[in-house]
Amino acid sequence: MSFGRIILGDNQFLGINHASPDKALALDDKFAKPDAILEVIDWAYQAGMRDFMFTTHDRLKPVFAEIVRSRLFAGMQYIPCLPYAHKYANSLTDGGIKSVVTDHMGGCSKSQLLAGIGRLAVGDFAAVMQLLVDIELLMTRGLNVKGVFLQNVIFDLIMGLRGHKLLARFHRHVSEQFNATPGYITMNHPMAQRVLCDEVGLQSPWICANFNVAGFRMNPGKAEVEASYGNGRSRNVAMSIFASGALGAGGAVEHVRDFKGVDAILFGSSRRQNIEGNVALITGRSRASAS
Amino acid sequence: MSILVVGGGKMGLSHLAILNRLLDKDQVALCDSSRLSRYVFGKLGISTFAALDDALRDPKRWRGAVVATPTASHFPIAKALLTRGIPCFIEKPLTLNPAHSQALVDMQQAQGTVVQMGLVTRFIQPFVRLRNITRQDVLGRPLRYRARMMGNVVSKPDNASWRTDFKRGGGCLNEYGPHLLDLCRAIFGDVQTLSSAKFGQVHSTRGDDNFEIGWTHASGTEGSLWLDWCDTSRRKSAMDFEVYFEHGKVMANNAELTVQVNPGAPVNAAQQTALNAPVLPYPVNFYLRGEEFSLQLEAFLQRVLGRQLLRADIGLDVAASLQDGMAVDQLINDIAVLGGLA
Repeated sequence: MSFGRIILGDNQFLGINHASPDKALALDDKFAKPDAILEVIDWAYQAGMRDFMFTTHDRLKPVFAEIVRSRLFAGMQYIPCLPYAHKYANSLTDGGIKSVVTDHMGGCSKSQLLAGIGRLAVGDFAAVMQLLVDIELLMTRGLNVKGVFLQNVIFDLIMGLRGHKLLARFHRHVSEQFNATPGYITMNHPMAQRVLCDEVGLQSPWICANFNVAGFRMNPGKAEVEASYGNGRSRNVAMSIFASGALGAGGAVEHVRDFKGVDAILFGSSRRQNIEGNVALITGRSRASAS
Repeated sequence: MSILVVGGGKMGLSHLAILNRLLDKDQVALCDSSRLSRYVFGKLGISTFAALDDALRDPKRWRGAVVATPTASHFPIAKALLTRGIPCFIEKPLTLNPAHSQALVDMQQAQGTVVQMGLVTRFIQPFVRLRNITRQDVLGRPLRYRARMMGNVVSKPDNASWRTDFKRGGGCLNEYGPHLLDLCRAIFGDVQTLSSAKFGQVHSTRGDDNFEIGWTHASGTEGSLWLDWCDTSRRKSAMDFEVYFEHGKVMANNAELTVQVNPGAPVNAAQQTALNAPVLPYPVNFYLRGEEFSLQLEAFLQRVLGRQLLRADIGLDVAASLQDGMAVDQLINDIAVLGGLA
């Protein structure tokens, strides 16, 4: 199972810009309405993109409802990344670990909930990952879910806690129950590859991590990340390829496109011109034929 | 030989996960009175203790400890650790009582034990750059600045939780103060005169939602500060600075730094290039939730273990001391008194 060469990201829809708080604020306003989001997805679709990776943020719920209802974007593959961690982090701050559990179980069916709690009650702690996936994927009902990725906030946390059983359970659950490809977003590509391959025992896992000419947020260092991207042990989705716009686009796409070991490129943009231009650059097609 | 994390809440969890990858397997343990926390961390293979006394039965086991419990318990925990000569990393604020803070400072100074405060904003890259520009005198003396911290923490009336109650350690000054006030001290030095402090309320009735502060540093630099946790236009809390130097102006926020050099300023080409170099986040050994959280623990471990851990080109003097923690607590108290909140 594989993803397309180019994947549309959703940071712009959620008002995220790692290099500029002001730009982030402007994006947040612009995409408060579902129509504005649908319009950008449509531009990407028309430019030939068939994969959309997104966070399970409440803002996207009406967007997906409309896609399903109006049968938009035939053939589009959806790759949810979970969880949208702020909602859980807020629960943790306000009421501790107990609130994290009680605040977010509401949307789950009773049978799922009982099964999950039953497993937890008999000491099957890793079942928490199944519950997380089940709850978070409720909003993707009716969509062609091709992959399910763990967000870096939660994946890097589990990696820090050395919770390998949790990762193994996530991997199995996504593969077996959802017939989708599991993946892992990280800010520590070399460590993630080591952990997933050597400690969890996965074969060629999909890893999504920053990869850019500037070395922006490539930990523990640009050279180490390039080495782990290139060693063939994992399949890799390059993100933050423009270093959040910090360095301009000149040469950014070519650097990533031509690097052996980059299997797919994730980028988000709120401008039609940029989407079409980047697709053309990555695929090597002229802009006219791409759109 | 390992590190003990006391308190398994949000900060404790974050510190534990970072330390657990900066060190080898089984080198980090947790002390938490909550049975649920111990269950969860225990399931993940982390050694846990229900009480500090149990953990300290063999004090030689610990090369350092992280104190991430509610502020009220910082004093007895830090005292117990320092009595045994165990280096500490203590979350902000330091204590709820200046006499307690002073007692800890006295103990630390008598022994020379490493103590670092979790005043984390000092490690954010553009602010480290701003501190260097100020200290290296590249643009001359900093004359005055405006510093702001704004976020969307409280968006509706909340008259039940401790969070909006000043008397229980809540309110915007208590929440944001340690971040911004400490950062101003780290960049511009000690504060000498507090000239104005005025608070405002938007949703809260038992505490402040915003604060306007004016002060002068011992260096003569004048600062005007604005704290606001009811800014609905923000997705997350962020800080920014606008600093006027003798020979130019610097604007900095959590991610960016820009410099305007005055025409005819005595700044050479090499200095100009350095001032305009792009600001990229520092590399870290293990990234969890922002470089600064990893960097502060890398610095702490480097000081405690005596081996190089920081990949970033940062001096260890960036880290906040116990005295810094006490100074910030004192400033918050003085501001609250002057503003009529305490």
